[in-house]
Amino acid sequence: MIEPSAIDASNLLPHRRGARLLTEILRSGPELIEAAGVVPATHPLAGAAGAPCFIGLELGAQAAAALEVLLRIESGGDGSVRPGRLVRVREAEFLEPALPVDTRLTVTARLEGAAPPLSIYRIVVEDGRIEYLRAAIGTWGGTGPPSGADHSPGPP
Amino acid sequence: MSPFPEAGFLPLPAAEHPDSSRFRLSERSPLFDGHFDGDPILPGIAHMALALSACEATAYRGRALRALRDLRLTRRIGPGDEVEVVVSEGEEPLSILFEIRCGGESASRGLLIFGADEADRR
Repeated sequence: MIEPSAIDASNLLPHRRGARLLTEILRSGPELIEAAGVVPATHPLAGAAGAPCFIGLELGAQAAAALEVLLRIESGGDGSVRPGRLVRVREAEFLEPALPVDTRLTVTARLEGAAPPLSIYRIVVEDGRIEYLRAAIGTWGGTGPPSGADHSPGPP
Repeated sequence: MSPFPEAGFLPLPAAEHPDSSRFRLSERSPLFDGHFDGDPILPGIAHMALALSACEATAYRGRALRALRDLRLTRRIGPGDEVEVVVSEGEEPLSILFEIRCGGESASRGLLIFGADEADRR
């Protein structure tokens, strides 16, 4: 388990400006990453009551993409950043009406299965007191788009 | 009217299908900013926002979203694309099935599950 002291997530993701919600990596291992992130009040899907909880799915997808870059670097491979696009949500529970904005959130993504470049992660988004979201998501870490056909993996 | 007024979902005249809504994705939508530079693509979470925007024309308008099942994203949506969002009652209570179509193809589909409100509890 790597416990880096606040690795800046911007070097691990192609997302820029308001699209990058992940801010830093708190710890990571072969099948797990814990990271911090913030949904800005200016996010285009946020409103007066906060941000819809489903934005936490993007936090999970970004955490998963960051883990895949870290693992590639650790294995001596290509450390190039890739989107880690969300291609499937098998199930998600939104446990609160909204996510707080401009607030540090913690996202944990645990790898449940993979058929590269597809991966299934179990994610949780919380702020240390309240759990906002639990989900099982599928991400596509390939360099090309998962075009046309449904490439998303079935249940593990 | 979309519940996400800053998203750049521009309503289009209603489609022939009675349970569908149509939108054009503004080229200036902030959802494309930084996602990704040189290769803008609508984030997956924005598909959910489009589906919820279509739900504004249903009895589920304004209800809290409690869960999502079996969301599959199969086609990218870019700036300027026009989409049709078709919704129908799901088999689970308080649920809506949706499909977003773009360029004659399915771009995503999934099941939204809403929370009960006071009227449901009576």
